[in-house]
Amino acid sequence: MSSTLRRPAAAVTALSLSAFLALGTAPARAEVTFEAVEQALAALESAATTAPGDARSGGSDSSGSGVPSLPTVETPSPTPDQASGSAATAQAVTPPQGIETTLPPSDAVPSDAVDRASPEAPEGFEFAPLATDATCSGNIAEVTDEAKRFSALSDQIEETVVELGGDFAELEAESARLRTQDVVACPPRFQGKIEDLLTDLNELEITPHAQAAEALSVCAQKGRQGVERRIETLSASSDIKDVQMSLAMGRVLAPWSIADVEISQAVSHFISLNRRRLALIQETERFLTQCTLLKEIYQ
Amino acid sequence: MTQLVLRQTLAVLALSAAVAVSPAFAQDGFARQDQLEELQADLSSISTRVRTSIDQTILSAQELENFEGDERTNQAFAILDSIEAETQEVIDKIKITSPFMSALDDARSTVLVLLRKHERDPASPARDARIAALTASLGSIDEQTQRVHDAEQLLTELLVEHARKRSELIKDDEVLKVQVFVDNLSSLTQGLEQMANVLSEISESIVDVPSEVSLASE
Repeated sequence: MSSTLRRPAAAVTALSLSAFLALGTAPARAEVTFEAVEQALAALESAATTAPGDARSGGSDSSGSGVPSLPTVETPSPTPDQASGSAATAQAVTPPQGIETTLPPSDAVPSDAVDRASPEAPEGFEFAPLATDATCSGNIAEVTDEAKRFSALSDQIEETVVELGGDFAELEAESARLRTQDVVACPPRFQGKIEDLLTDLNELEITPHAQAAEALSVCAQKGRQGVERRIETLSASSDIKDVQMSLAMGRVLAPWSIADVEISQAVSHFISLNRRRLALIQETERFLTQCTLLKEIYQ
Repeated sequence: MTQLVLRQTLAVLALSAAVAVSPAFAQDGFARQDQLEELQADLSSISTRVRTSIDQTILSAQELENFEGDERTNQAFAILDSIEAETQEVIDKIKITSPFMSALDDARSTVLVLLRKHERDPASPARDARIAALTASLGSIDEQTQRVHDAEQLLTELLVEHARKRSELIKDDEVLKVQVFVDNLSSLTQGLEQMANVLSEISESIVDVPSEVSLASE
């Protein structure tokens, strides 16, 4: 287990705070009622771009592996029209209490966005299209829970990867020892260990989790962007109510930003772990090839 | 004279062993990007040590002329053993399963995910600046990764060459052509020297991995 402690909450608090302040919104002494905050939260929750009950695929972990339930991300074949006219993907919502929600904002997807082939994408993993029309839950509590579960899952997988790395190191040491003994064939026990490790490495599924986390990441980002967009609009107003609402929205921004960062970190963690898994497979297969060669030479 | 050469050879081996038993990281450990700096420092110390080792090996090779028969052969093998141990240790530090490469991969994953994410942000000059910074980081990481791969290949080729030399020594057990051997040895140490240079450069390269917070503050 890595000793690396990841603290997205603290980092994002700083981030969201700076983003909030940068927008030049409410003065510190603006009075914000509890109701206003509740209204803002309710608006955000209802700002989901999907019908109730449609936010998630499943919702339970049928595999029993502790894998978080996944948001549904539709990935339509992008066309230049879709890319440039991404505003069409911003679905209208009916916010309560006169709050105009903007999830996702009309410019959430850059105008020059096109669905690239992601040539730099890691093996077996595909980033969500830039002009994705994700179907997301607007419930920040759910998104936060999912982000935390993905984060915990990536830590759990790291433990397994580290353990398998230890098995690999043992094989490597044994291989070095055999080299010094002028062994003309791999002992069956050694070859058996190689095959066992390869099986374990191949059975370790990481990419599906990375893909699901990426889908949630899109949702968290959309949520954050929506709140930021709303704050920006409100901050342009001189109406005290708008200013108060802007402050309330600023408070709502923090959990979205935290979830956004946490899930991004989980995605990159998954990708990194998968790269590690593939590296171990590559090197373990090399041992197997050496055994095969030895067998061929001396037979 | 025999004692002198033996002392030199043993010094190299002892030095290698000393480093080998006190590595900062497990040889095949999984490492995260925040360990990158420390791992680069580790590479830096190795490149320094390799240089020292090269000097001592050259000295040992020069002394070969003072030996004859089996003793000369044994000295030649001792030199090859020393170079092989040195080379293998460097390979272990930069191979695909090494902590250094793991940390570099981790950094790349972080940058890649951030880059893709910021590409999904609304268009703005700030977004473009963040994307430019992340793209530069990704390019830098990819460049380093390629250099490490090239270095590993160079060293592996060096070991293959080494094995060939060893085979020649076995065939010609009296090492009659000492001068030829010494000439060949210089080509091996040149490879090691080149390796030390690459390691040194890699250890001095700064891999800037932007974080969400640093990007926001920019």
